[in-house]
Amino acid sequence: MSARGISRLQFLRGDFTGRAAPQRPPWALPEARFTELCDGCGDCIGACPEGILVSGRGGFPQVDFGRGGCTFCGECVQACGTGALADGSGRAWSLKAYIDETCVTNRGVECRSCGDHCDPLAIRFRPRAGSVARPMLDQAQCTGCGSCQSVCPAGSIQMHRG
Amino acid sequence: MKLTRRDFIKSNAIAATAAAAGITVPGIKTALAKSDARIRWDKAPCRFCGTGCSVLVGTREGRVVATQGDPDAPVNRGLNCIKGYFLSKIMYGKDRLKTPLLRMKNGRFDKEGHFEPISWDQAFDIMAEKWKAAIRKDLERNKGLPPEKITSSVGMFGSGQWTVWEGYAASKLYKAGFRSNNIDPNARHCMASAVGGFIRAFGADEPMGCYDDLEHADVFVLWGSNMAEMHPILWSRLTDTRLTKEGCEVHVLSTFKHRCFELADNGMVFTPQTDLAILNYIANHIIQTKAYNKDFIGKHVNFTRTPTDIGYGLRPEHPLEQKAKNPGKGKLSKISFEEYAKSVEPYTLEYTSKLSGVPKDQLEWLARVYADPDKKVTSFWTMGFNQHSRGVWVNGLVYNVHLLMGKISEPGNSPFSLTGQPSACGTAREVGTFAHRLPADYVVFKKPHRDFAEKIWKLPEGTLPGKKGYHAVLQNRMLRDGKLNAYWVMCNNNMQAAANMNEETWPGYRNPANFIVVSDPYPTVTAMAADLILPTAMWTEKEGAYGNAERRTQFWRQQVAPPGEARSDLWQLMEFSKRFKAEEVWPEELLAKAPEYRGKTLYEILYRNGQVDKYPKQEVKDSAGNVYDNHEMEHFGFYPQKGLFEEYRRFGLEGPKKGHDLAPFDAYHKARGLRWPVVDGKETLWRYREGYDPYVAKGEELRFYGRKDGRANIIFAPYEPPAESPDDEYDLWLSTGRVLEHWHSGSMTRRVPELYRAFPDAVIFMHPDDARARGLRRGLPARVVSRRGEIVARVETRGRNRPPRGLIFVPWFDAGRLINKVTLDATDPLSKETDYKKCAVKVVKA
Amino acid sequence: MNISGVLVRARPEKIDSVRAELERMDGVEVHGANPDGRLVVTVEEDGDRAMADSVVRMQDLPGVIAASMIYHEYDDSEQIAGSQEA
Repeated sequence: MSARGISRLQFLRGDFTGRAAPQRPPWALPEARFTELCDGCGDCIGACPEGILVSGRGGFPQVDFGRGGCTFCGECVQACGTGALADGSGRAWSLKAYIDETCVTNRGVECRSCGDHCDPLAIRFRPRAGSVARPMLDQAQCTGCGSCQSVCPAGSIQMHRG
Repeated sequence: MKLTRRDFIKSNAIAATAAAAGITVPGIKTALAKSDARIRWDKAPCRFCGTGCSVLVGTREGRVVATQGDPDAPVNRGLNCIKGYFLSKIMYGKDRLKTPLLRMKNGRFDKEGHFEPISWDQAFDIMAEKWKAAIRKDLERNKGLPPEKITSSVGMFGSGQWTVWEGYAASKLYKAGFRSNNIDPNARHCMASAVGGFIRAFGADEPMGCYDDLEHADVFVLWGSNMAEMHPILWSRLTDTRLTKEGCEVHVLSTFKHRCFELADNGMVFTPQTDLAILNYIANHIIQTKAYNKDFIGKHVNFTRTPTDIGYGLRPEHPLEQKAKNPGKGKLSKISFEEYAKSVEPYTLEYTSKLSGVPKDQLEWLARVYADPDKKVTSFWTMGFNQHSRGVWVNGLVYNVHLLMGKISEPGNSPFSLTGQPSACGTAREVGTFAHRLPADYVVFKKPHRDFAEKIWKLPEGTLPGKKGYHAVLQNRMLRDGKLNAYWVMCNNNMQAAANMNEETWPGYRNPANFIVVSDPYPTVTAMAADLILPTAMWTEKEGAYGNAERRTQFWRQQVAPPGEARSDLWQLMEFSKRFKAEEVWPEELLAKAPEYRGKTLYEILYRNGQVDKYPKQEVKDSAGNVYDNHEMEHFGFYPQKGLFEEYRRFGLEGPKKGHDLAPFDAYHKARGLRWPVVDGKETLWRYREGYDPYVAKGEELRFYGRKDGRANIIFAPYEPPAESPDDEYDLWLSTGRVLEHWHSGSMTRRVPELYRAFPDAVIFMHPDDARARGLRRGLPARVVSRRGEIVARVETRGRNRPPRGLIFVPWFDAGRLINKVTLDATDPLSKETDYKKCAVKVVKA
Repeated sequence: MNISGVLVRARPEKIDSVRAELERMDGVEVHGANPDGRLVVTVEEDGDRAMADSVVRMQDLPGVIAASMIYHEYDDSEQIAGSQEA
């Protein structure tokens, strides 16, 4: 369980898997290490061109996918002087999108918003007989950028750590 | 019995699947939301496009809380698009208008003042003052002139979103009451070219086929129609057929790749305007290969040609109009089959492929399916054809192809014009809200038609003016020129919708000589440009009726009360008519013919005429016994919706033009819509063919009875270039249009947070190479500049639309990025419909 | 527990044999049918086999034109509880 590197705060909240921790900026170190190093200066928040970083509990930055998706531009990493964000090489995080059953296409409603905003084309819609097209999410292609979550009109997409 | 978690999930699974399949499973509620007993459910057509989906509207404690696809609806069979799914939220935007607002300074109206709340009484006072002043001038100017010569300085811009009776009441108030033909609907921007095409070819408006063609056809051809986004439910029916019927093919033609190309067997991107050439090539192919149906054309077709070099419907002083040989001319002349064949001969495969940029094998494939007598072909088109400076021509050219093969008026063989508004057919076209029309295909410039309307309306001879009024684009020009002075905009957002807003619309509205009234539920761009804003009840806040693209008339009951002081368009029109005495709007010589109208108000003459007020107050009840409000009935003391509909219905039943029969009012509250002509309670699915259409006699086989000789016109029209094409400076084509998530100007859908989030702002769809060449990339802001204006938006090189190099596509729903500052107001000189699909722009870094 | 609602589209003339075949499959129930060939079907699976496999098997039945998953719910409440203990 410590492989995920949970923080003291998480431990006290009983979040032993680290799942309930807020989503830190891309390339953030494991949660315990991150909260140790980050001094809450907000430089990464100001640097994010997409404006998706916000100041969360304890003044630590976190991602709000309601504001948009991450383009992995690395500006936040560049701006960070504390080392709480790693060097920007390798995968930014292990997030993946999950579309749940509240997706309106399950109810015969034609909607394609998530697919349109999926840069790596992980979400595709295929025409099908009998009803409207439904999203097919290829987890292998998903970068966890969160663009689909921000546009989903039904709030049916969640980002989970893979 | 306790429901386990497993049972619960399973019943959800069954309900969802059954709803999608359109099957009722006993014991399972068709829709999950129905399980809440506090919600009252009733049917209503969707507020948005011309598909005419039926939805179930769930109301709880006086508020619409849910909508869902109506499983019993023949059009959508329980399906819905994302806009329809969020219908329940369109009435509850935070900035809903609840009281009349007038521009004022120091307690008085001032054109340069700020909006301040006033009462309805005050609103109608100032309106009546302005209207009366304008009409006084008109009476003076028109003194002694016959009805064919009189003109008016009052006008109205209406809508294909009006309910049937609202459009009818408005048309009657203007044409009969104010004696002004300056009333036109926004359907002018949308369907006028289709109307022109129908009238010229068949002498009667609206499609001969119906949505059942979606299951009957072997081949679908889309001409300038992105059904996948704009008519998604029809597209899902088409998809179903394509995936389940052996040998079914889909051909898609467009000036850029869009979602329909996903399903296309033959997807073709052509150079703008060359659809004219492609259709002539197909006709040529049919003739060269001797595939045409000799028997059919011998019996049912005339060959004609239309005048050419007709200009672009711009202001007469524009150089392009000066240069045109036959500006605005459209009179057909008869030719022989041989002459027709010769006319299309230059449109060879070689020539057409080169002009259009479509590879030869693809063009030939397309021509072959039309020419194959064993393949049933349905052609669909929408704004790509209609918003076209040769829109009437191109509508005609597709009929030519169908008529040459006799592929028309039978299941699966159908040239089918789709509509963009929920009642473009039912209201704008059928009740005659156009500047040249009267109800049921009658027209103002024919005296017998006016006589007939005057008879039904119980008006003295000569009441109705006989000169065509100002059409939509001309209204804006006349406002700017100060010739149209009292102007009422209802149920549309024309400041945002009309082309060339900078040079025409805005200066027209703000011209000090004019008084502009806008009725709307929301403070739209148009409302904010007005002098007086009237708060309007919308959709299920009133009883209503719409007619969709397949001639299906659908009714709904009032479900909830409008907020604050908001009132329906019908209430506003009828209430305003009380402000005018006959003497104030009609000349003495007319009154002398009808002395009984002296001292009477227009309300009494037009709506308390013993017909409209014939049906007393009653309880509106559904089959389950639920009782519904009807505010207009409550207010006026009779059932005005029923009275207006029944009076209007007489135009279809009693006139010399046949085939427009509607069912009695009450029948529609029970049915999921009926397709006219409805004769002996039976709807008509395919018009003009024996066995389907009750107006075609036994043994006649086929009769295009809209025309006296019963024959349809094949009309030759050549390729002519568009009004403006890219050049060295303005080097890109601009096409505008819609997206799935938003409807038209976005005044409703952008107020639904979920839809706003799904597609917040308009973007510039462009080819990545074009972006790179201008130092741009995806997501960067850029300026779109034309000779008329500019906007800034972000570049999009991916996603649903993939333009070829040399063309950009910008949606027009976004009030923050008004692309109609950039577009050109070139119109089809015949239909007066604007070409929103073609003008020249440049794109530069912002 | 894994439950799906599947809309099966069969050739109308084959609807009876398709129905019988479907009902022979483990965890499959047919809840309704329309003479035009549409069947409302649920699939329940407790094991690990992906739901998609069942849909693919349906698709391959003779007389089936298309099988499309309309609804899918995966209730893993036990597993969630289990993971918390880990």
